[in-house]
Amino acid sequence: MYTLGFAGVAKNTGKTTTALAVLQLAQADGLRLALTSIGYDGEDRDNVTGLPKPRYALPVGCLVASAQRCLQVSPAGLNLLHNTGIATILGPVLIAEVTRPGLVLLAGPNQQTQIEALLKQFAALKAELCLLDGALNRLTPLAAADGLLLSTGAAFNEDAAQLIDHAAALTSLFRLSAPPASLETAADRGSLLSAQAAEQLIQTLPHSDNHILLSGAAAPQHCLTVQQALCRPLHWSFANPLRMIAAGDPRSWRDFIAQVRAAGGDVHTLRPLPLHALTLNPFYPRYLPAAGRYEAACLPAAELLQQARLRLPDELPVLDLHQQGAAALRPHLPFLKRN
Amino acid sequence: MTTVLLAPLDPVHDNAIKLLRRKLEAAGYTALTMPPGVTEEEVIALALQERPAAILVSRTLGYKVAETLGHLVDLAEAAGLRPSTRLGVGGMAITQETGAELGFDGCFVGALNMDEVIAFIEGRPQQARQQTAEAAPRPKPDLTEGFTYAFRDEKIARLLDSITEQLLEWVKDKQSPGIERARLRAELLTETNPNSRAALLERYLSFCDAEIQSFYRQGKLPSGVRRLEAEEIARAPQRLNPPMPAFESLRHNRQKPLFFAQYGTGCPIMDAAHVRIAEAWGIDGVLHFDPSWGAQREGLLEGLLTHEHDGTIITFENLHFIRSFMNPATLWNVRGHRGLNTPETQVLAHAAGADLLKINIPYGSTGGGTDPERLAVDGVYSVRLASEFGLPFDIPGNDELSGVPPHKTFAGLLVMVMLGLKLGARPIPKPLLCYSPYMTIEGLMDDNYVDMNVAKLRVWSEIVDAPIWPGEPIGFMTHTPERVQSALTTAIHAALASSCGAAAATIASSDEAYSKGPISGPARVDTLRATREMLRFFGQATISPTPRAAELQAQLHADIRSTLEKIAARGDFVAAIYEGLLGDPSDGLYPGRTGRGSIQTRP
Amino acid sequence: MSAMQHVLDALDLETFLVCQNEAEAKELALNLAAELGLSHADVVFVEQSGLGARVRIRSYIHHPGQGYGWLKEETA
Repeated sequence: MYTLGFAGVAKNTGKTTTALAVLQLAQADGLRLALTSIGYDGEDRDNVTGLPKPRYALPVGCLVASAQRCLQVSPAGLNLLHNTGIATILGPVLIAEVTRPGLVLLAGPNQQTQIEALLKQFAALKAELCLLDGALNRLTPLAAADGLLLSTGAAFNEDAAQLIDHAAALTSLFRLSAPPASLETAADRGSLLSAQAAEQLIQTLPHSDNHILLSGAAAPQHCLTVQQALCRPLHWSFANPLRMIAAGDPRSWRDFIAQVRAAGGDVHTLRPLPLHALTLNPFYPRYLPAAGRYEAACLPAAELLQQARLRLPDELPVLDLHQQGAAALRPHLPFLKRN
Repeated sequence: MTTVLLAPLDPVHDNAIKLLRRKLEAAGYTALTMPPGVTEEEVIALALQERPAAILVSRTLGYKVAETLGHLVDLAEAAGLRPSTRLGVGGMAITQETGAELGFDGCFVGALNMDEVIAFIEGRPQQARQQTAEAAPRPKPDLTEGFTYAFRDEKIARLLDSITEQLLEWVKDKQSPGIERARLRAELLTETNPNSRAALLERYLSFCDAEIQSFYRQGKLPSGVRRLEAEEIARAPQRLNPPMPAFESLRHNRQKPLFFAQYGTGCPIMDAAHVRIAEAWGIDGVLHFDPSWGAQREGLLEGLLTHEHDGTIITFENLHFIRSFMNPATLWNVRGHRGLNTPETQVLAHAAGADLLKINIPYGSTGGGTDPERLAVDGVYSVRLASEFGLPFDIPGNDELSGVPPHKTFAGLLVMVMLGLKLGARPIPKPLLCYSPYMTIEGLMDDNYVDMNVAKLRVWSEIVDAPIWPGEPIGFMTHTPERVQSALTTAIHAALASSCGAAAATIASSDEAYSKGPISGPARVDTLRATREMLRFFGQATISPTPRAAELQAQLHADIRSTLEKIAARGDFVAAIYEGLLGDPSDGLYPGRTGRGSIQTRP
Repeated sequence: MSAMQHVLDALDLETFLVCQNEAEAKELALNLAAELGLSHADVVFVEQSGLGARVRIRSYIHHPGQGYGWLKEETA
């Protein structure tokens, strides 16, 4: 079973649209599908902006893992298979198989370890492709996936140049290499989230050590403090790109990485995570103060896509699914048939 | 000691956090708080250091706030905190769905509920806890508990003794069709043999009006009445038994008064819906109101019956149906204070699970429209039933609304109190908190509504140690069809009743004064919300009247005594009612006529 | 089931009408109810002062004793 995660930089950047596109393609290929979400996805409208949201309409035979209270009110026909024992605010997560096509409300496990347990259960039910939907800007639990599709868009930043710059910095983290075999194994120092912790690391790191392993949450500004204070060639290893993003802006990471490399060191991720493509969504909710509501607005789509492709490396596919349609994803996903 | 980390994640506000800290510390937790404006990184850094059992975040949801909260959750996961530290969120606009979307383990919606918060910290499932709260039986309160019923005014006690002795002596050899039917109804309720039942029913019908007879014999329903359909009955439990929130009383930090609401929409299903609404918004008890035409017929109907008029028809099935939807701890009163079916109503109410009965001979036989002689006979029998059933009965003092001065009304209530005590029952007098026509005419409440109402409550404690239940409803004649005004006046009268130590109070809905349609569900919520807020406002503080209240109280006390002296001197309680000693035509009161001439004297 | 079917009993509408006098306010209130498709509407409360009138209009969507829309639909 292949698990594909859908990560978004922010709300309304097009995660669900992207997931629906993959669902359509995988269904056409006849793959046995499984679906869950690390958050909650089921409203017709965004609960803040009031604007319409895409919904999951699932085909017969699709497996779904969602909280009991969500399945109880889902219009699709469902055959409950079993209780995963994972608790959420909306009740225990149950696995069901769709028996009559229709909408399903999703609220699945929200922690990586829970997701890993669920994926084993999906695999045992002979699922061939599991779609793991993200929630808002939450990324960390998606590390349970085998590969990712990343969505960004004007809902995150209406300034096209800044949006693209952020995307460039973000996607570069997925290209960090694993630590070379020649590098000495370092003690795991967990997280680095405060100036105090940074100071402690500066004081206690032996002069002979040239490898710092932080498998938890580390903020780039504190890593930078350490790098600048020690001022020597150091290798930094982090758990995966998603944990790095959780603790700091990718542009700060870019500055940090540049300094580490300038000092003769490098930055690694223990578990590289394949990023199959970046989807770019020109839509954003624009607030109308006089009317007291939001309306759907859009950056110039063709121009945005062109600028992004110029800026991002050629090997990373950058797609606007609204312009190009779902089929544009097909060549970039290894588990789909080649046309 | 378990540590909990409290983070506002809000640029300015942290009131919720301060409140939570105080309450958690009181519950024995170490509560670490962070100032407003801290970042998600700072929260997680401190959590890594302190390893709390839970992080509780308070934040009002707005655009981009969701991302901040999502980021905190993500960071907690990245830092490896989640297996050991539970994440909870609460604040304006946070719903369970947003909590799930943000990836929190728990979500606190609405007012702060410490049981819920502690269950969450301890890792007990919230859903299960709520179910436990719903299922855990709440003790049913007893309004009369702690009252000795000792008379403090001995002169009044002597007068009442003489009046009630005469009344009891007078009814001794009297019989009424109402009493006959009550006895037969009690037998019908338990008789299962069809032949015996048919015979009992025939005897029952011999004491009934033609309209009631044709219902039983030809199945003819009174005009406008229909039977509930099987489908309606079958679906009602599904709709009317939702998971109910744990009971939250309206009283803030006081033990008294218990609050009652009246219902009687005409339809048992709608009544059940109204009762459930009132319960969900904190009512302690409800009173069943029946249609006035039911009181004017000899005999009661059977079955689940509905109609499109005020008051819900009294049948065993209707009463039992409505009771079946109530929380077992909700006190339930079925009124039977007037009309030709007074004794039978007590029998049915008791059989259906009533906790309180309602009986008042002087009011029922004047303002209530029933012949005094008839109601004296039926009323005494009803008080005997209350005693036999072990149920307290309340005595409404609503004749004041016709224009009767309070001393006359109260004299009548006192006669009923003494009658109840003599027969071994527990009476609860219900003086009105109102702006009655008498007060308007006499100008006794021109300055304020406080002094006279305080005098009317305090005078009771000078006379007898009994529970006082201002009814029915409080604030009568101060309500208008304006919703806010009406809710406010109910609430302020509730505060006054509470301030005066009343045992209970009956509150209206905010559309009480709208006469062209039935009371609505949302209007019930209006007054319950207003009352809750008003009692929160006052807490243990009390309302202080002007010195005029003491003068009014002294005058009232003296007038009650002189009224009772006149009644005692008359030597015939029923004649005293006919002759207007408890309120005459100049007070707007006339003796009732329904059932006149129906009393038989046994040889 | 339409949202209207979920109304327990009465639907009240409160607003402020800019008008000359109470009679006009009442007429406007009833017209407003008719424009909104509320049948058998009644003016529960009207208070005219100065610029216009505060009004409360009521229409019973489900009158006690009749059938109730909220009872007909199966709960989820």
